[in-house]
This record gives sequence, structure tokens and C-alpha cells, in this order.
Amino acid sequence: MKKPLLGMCVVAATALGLVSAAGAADKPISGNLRIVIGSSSTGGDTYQNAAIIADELSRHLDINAKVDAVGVSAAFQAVSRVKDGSTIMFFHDQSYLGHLLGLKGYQDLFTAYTVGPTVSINPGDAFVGAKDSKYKTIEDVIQGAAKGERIRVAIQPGGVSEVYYGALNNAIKVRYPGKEANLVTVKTGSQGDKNQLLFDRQAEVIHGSVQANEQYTRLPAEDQKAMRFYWLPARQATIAQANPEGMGATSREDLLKFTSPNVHVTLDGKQDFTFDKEFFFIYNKEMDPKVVAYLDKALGEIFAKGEVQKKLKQSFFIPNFQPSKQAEAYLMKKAAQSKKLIDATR
Amino acid sequence: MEFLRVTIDFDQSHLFFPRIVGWVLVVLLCLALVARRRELVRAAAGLRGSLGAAIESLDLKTFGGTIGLLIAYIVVMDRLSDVWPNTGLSFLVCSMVFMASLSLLYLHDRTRRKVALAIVCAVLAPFVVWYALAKLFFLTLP
Amino acid sequence: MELLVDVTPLMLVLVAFGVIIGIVFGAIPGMTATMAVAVCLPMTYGLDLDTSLALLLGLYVGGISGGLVPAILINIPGTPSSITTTFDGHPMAQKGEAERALKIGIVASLFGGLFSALVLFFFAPALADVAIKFSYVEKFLIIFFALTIIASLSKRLINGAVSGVLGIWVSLIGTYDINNGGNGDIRLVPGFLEDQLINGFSLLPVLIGLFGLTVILEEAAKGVPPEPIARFKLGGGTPFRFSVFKGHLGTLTRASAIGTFVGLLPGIGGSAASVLAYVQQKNLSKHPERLGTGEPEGVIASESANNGLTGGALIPLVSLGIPGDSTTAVMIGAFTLQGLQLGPLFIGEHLEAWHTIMVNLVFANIVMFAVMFFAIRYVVKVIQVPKYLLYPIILMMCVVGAFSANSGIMFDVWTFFLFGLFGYYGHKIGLESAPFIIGFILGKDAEVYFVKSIESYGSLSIFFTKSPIAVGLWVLIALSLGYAFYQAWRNVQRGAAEEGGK
Repeated sequence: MKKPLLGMCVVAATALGLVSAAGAADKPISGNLRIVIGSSSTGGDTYQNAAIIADELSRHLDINAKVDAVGVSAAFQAVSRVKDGSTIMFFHDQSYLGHLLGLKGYQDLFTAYTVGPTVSINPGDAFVGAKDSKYKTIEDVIQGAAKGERIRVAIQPGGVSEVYYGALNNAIKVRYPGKEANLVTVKTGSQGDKNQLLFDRQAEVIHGSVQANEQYTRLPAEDQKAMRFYWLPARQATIAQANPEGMGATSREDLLKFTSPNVHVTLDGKQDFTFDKEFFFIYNKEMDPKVVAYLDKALGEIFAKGEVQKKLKQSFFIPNFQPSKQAEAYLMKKAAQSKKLIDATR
Repeated sequence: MEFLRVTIDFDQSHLFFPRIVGWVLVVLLCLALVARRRELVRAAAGLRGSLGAAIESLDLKTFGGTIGLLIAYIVVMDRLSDVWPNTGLSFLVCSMVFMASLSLLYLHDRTRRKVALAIVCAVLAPFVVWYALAKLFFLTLP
Repeated sequence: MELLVDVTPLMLVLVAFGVIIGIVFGAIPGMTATMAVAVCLPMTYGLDLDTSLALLLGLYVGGISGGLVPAILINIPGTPSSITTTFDGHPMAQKGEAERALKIGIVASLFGGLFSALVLFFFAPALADVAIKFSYVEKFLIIFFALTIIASLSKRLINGAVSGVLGIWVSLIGTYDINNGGNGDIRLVPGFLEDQLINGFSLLPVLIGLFGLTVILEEAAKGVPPEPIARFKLGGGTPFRFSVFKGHLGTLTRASAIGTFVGLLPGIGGSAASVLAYVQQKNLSKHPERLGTGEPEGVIASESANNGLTGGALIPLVSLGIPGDSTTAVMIGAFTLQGLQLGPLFIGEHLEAWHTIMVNLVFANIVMFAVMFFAIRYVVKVIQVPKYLLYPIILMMCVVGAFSANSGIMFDVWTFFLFGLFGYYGHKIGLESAPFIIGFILGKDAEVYFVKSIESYGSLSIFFTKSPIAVGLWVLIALSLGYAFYQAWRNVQRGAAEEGGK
């Protein structure tokens, strides 16, 4: 029994020697790059953004970049374990919001990991209501709450959704102190479940998206499924970069009507709250700064060429490249703003 | 219908359903114990005999060998995947060794022909799987 | 024939390619149609809409169909929805009727697939309006109904019930997922295991551990007897004839309709389809006691339902923009990448794409049938492979399948191992695998819809008063439970009579 086994090991080892010798060692990253994402869905926006960027990186650096949708905790675990840069993570604002909201499986992003470059934005998050609702605009919603009407907002707990809700709640508090209690949450999950709550009139407002709900806004008002946009939390400057066709039959101009300063969800009475859902890389804390710089440079070159922008915009994502250092400062500022809103609603 | 009113505190909502299921499980287990008490008594009486028979009929070498090899396979594969990250080579090598060992363990009459067949299979199968999944479909393998 | 205008040879080639790859993925335990679509998604970047749809639909249909092969041949469901195919398919294989069982399964799959495609084509928007009548409450009741099925599937009522509820309990281990609207808190996990068990156990590793590893461990305990899996020589027993479907047109239609309906409801996992179809078959069968011993009608019900799922799951996708199952969820990504938006206006605004979907779906089913029906002859030889070669291959495939189930997580391989052991010792103390896995599959959905119903309405009475649909579902639940108790009672009577007769 032993002899054949030994033989096998020899054969295997030789084969391995041949294969591994082929890999080059002069570049900080070569061969296979694994990009784990904080979502376990291969149909969601995180996967799509990661896939577009991975594709560009593969071609630019002549490597195999592969996106793996392993989910939040597995992604953090993988990137905590691998220090050499052969596994890196890609995710969005949820990565620090989860910690701010005290969720299991999250550590402080800025101390436990290295923040990599931001690459893109999904500007599509939207607050949506039924078309036949008596609230026609987000201002109607705010006024409704001010008048003492109970308004239910369907959100997904523990993430970006909660920050948007916090902002709306805060806007009511700033303008009509005490009335913010009339704005309550209905905690739910998937896009389908949120739509369903609206169809059942179990919520007045849902956190939907331009991509998922645009067609519903074009249904005739008598259709139970018809919806209307109230508010897009993205910055005006972000939406303004989208292709002029916008999404479906709703043009960029139409979408801009739902962003600040055309609608107001105030932050402090002077300034409106805005929030871009940002996608960025996350690295192991101990990853060699050379690798960080190498990836910064590679992505900088890719974005300088301008092709990736077209690809992102075709899928209604907005390119927003910032190298690591800049990205970290930017995201820390965002995190501080979000923390205030979260603390205020708790 | 006032007695049917229930409110769930969102912060504690993760415990609501598990508690119900837990209690149902306890009740069912008790029912099972009652319903099967006669068998249980009989089983307890014959426990020594049946246990002895069970151990005697258990092929410890094959059974323990399977479990041992499987554990070794998973542990070593995991370790080696840090040595050759993201290439699937750890899977390739470990699977070859694992399959060959397991085949030999399950082989009752080790004729030269059968052993050769097992080895060929142990080399070929992981290679085909590795090539198809890692090289053609870019799946991540250990 | 304006439907056929846009068909190009490349599309047909890609459908066929997709179907074949899909079948292979479906047939590998632990790999599913969803994974096949996910790994091939990047290939579609370079294709236009028509051709990428051709590829993806081919993968979908192939992936759903491939699961029956290992289910019948080696008693390991290739995908969660082929669990019920093992019940009668594998006993047939053991009797030497593997080829017959496979062919019956394939014909039933074709019927289910085409049936659901027709339903999709003619009734998609209308059925989407039906689907949105099902809110949290109704969805919970459907799941509850599916859970009562555990009673009819168990060999002994009380053991089955314990196994099923244990399955639900185990599925709840880990966090109450925020993606389902939960609070993200962890439960049923000891503190020192929190890092590993934060997401609980995933379905595919549990499934293949429980079905794949358990069987091999049981064989290993016996020293792996050298005779191959089929007890009789291949081609023994009854040969396949289409006449087996005579008198089963009702079964086919019923099961396909159940599959389509389950697919249509977003949020109710696809694997519930074949389970529901199998049990209604058992409840309506002339010989319920023979189901589970190798009856063709069991295979027919299970397989037509799981392919009925395909067309059904596409209904909410094209008419609400909401996926009906996990595979169609991945497809949304493909549509987005093509700059195409799904939703209530999709069919009207993108008639061409819609027709492409239909043509490809029908064609994929036909190709699936052709490929599988004629490949069977060779595939079936698997069960003649001696165990010392077959088992190591199966274990290696299971390990790859478990590892890849969530895109490469080693903990999933340990889950596979753990549940293999659990299955082995569980069987010794009378636990039953099928009820356990059904409880496990449905447990999380049951929790979400139950808790959310109460959060929305604040009262348990809503489960009875919400809608006529809810009341109808209670009637079904009562019937299903009543029937299970009646059967259990009859078994006890029969047992007593036999004992008295001694």
C-alpha cells in the first residue's frame, strides 16, 4: 500500500514544481487574485461592480482576478487571514455601518483593516411610495409626520437603509422637534418583500431603487402596483454624471428632480443630507504598502484610460476613483456623519 | 381575539421563533420517549448485547480509516492552500493522495490490476475536476 | 411564426452548450443550476443580449434537470430539489431499473419544463398579479403546509416529526439575517463558536453530508462490501416504455402546476416544489404504501415539479423584476449588465427579448431531453463501477461541491463532514434524513414570514383572517395532517394485528 502512495507523491510534487515555477515573482501581485465581496449574491450591485473592476484589473495587470460572493463575515475572515494580497475584499458603506450599528461579524473598518481605493457609486437608492398615496413628495411625508400622521418606512435593518431612514427622521426632528416619533420603521429584507409591503399598504414609504422600481413608477395610478419616487439620497453631482438616458424611460433630468437641492431632507436646517453608496476595496491591515501602491497605480491607469467609466455607466453605476489614502479620509468623514444620524435615532 | 395579541421587540426578535421551535422539539422528544418506552426498555435490557454486536459488526479499520482520511484530507488541504493561494493546487495534490489511500482501503483483494486501476483513477479524476473547474470555469478551489 | 425570426445558429449552439454544462453542474452533488449560471455569467459580458440569454437559460434548464442523475443512481440528490427523486428513483435503480427510472425522470422533466414555459408565455402578467396576493401571512402558511408534509414522509410519525423539527431548529443556528429583515443578532450558538457559526450551516453542505457521506460511512462500517450498487444486473426488471405514463397525465399536469406555482412565489425556495408535488402524489395515489419502494409515479411527480419550477420562477422575474428562485436572482445581474431593466413593463417594452427568452426556454428543454435521453445509456454505467473506485470519487466531488457552495469557504467542508457523521449516528437512534432536510430547508423562511407577519399585524389571529387564500391554506394543512395521522393510526393497527397474529 505504501509504495504506490509514495510514487504518487513524487509525481504530484514534480507536477507542482513545474506549475509553480511558471509564476513570476517580480510583481507584487501575479497569477491569481481573489476578490471576496461582502455579499453572498451574484446578482446584486456589489457583485456587478466587483466583476467590472476585476475584469479590468485582469487585463491591465495580466492576472486572473476572480470575484467570490462569500458574504460579509466570510469575506472579512478571508481578508484577515491572507496578508500577502492574494485575497482582497470589495464592498460598500455597509462595511463600516455594520460596526456603527453594532452588528455581529463587523470590526472597526478603519483600525482593523486597510481601506483601499474607492471605484464606483450606485446612485440608484430611492425612497418610493404608492402612486395613489396622499403623500406626493418627500415634503408631504415630512409634513404628514409633523401633523401627527403615523408613517411607516420599510427599510432593511443594519445598513445603508438605516442611515437614510435616520436622515429623514433627523430632518423631521430638526424642523418639528418631537414629531419624528411619527416616522416608524418596518424592518424587512429583499426588494420583493419591500414591494409587497407597499402593495399590501403595510408601509407608506419603502427604500427601493431606481433600477428596481422605475417601471413601477410608470404604471397607471389605478394599478395596485404603481409607485412614485420621493427622494434619491445620492448627491446631485453624482446623478448628473449618469448617461442622459437615465434608467428605462426616466431620463437623467427627471431623476435629478428627486435629489437635493430639488428636494430637501435637511441635515441641520441649513444643509441637505446626501449620501452616495460607495464601492471600495478593503485590504488586510498588514498587507505590504507596496501592494497597496501597486493596486492604486493600476486602478489609476485603468480609470485614466476611460473605458471602465463607460462600462460602469452602462449599468447605471457612477465611476468615482480615489486612491487609498484619499478614500480612507473621505470614508472616515462619511462614517462620522452617519454615526451622528444613527446615534440621533436611537 | 385579545388573547391572540402578540408584540415582538425587534431587538429580541431573533429569539422569538427559535424559542417556539425549541419548545415544540422538547414536547415532541417527550412524546417520542413515551411512545417508544417499551422499545427503550427492551433496548436498555439488550443494550450490552446489542452494543457488543454493533461493535463487533463495525469494521473499525474501514470506518475509522474513512473518517481519519477525510479529516486529514480537509486539514492538509486547508493548510496547503495557504502555500499555493488561489491556484487549486492544494486540492489537486491532496485529492490524489486522498483518493488513492481511500481506494486502497476499500479494496479487498489487492491484485496488481486493481491497485493500478485505483491509482490511475486517483490521479485522473482530481486532475479532470481541477482542470475543468479551476482552469475552465475559474472556480476558487482550495 | 414571428417568434422564430431572430433565432441564429450561434444561439442554438449556446443553448446546447449551456444545457450540457448545466447538466454536469446539476449532476455534481453540491453544485447547482445557480452556481452554473453564476460561473458562466462572466462569459456573457462579451455576448449580446440574445446570445447571453440563450446560454443562461440553457444552464438553468440543464442545471435543474441534472440533479436527477445522482439522485437515482447513487441516492445523493444532485440539487436540493431532487431530494424526492431519490425516494423512488434509487430503489428502482437497485432493482436494476436505473435506465428506466432515469428515462421516466427525463420525460417528466421535459413535460414539466414545457408546461411551465407555456404557462409563462400565456399567463405571466396575470399570474404576477396572483403572486402579489401572497403576503407574509400566506407565504408562511404555504411553508407551514409544506412542513406538515414531513408527517406524510416519515417512516414513523413521531421519529419523522422529531427529525423535521430538529431540522428547523438547526437551520436557525447563526444570525437572524439582516438581509431577511432580521436584527442581525446571533442565537443558538455557544460563544466560542460565534466566528465559525455566524452564518449557521449552509444548505448544500448539509444536504450532501447527510445524503452522500452518511451512505458511504454506513457502507464503510460494513467494510464496504465489494458488490456494486445495483443489486440486479442492469437492464433487469421492467424496461422503459412510454406507456408507463398512461394514466399519469393527471400526475404530470398536477405536479408541473405545483412546480410552476411554487416557482411563481418569490421567497419560497424552489426545493419546496418537488416536496409538495411528491406528497400530494402520495396522498392521491391509489397505492400510497408503495411510494418510496420504487414506484414510477414518485419519480414522475418529483421531476415534473422541479422542472415546472423553471418557467414559474421566470414569471415574477419578467413581470415584477423580482426573482422567483436563487437562479433567476443571478440572472437579474445578466440583464442589468446588458442594460436591460426587468419589471412590470418589461414584456411590453422589450417584446423581442421576451420572445428570445421563450424560444430559448423551449429549445433548452428539448435539447435537455435529447442530450439526457441518449446519454443515459452511458451514464447509467456509473452504478456498475466498483465501490472502491466510485466512493473516493463521490467523496472528492462532495468536498469540491461543499467548498464551492458559497464560492470557496472551508467551513462548508467541515459542515459536510459534520452532517455526514450526524446522519450516520442519527439513523442509529431513529432520526430520518428526509424530514430533517425538509425542516432545514424551510426553517429560515418559516421564521422570517412568521415573525414578520406578527410584527406587521400584531396578532396571531391574522393567520386565520387575513384572506380567503389563508383560509384555503388552513384547509389544506388540516387535510394533510389528518391524512398523516390516519396513516400512522392504520400502521399501528396493522402492526398490532400482525403482533396479535403471531
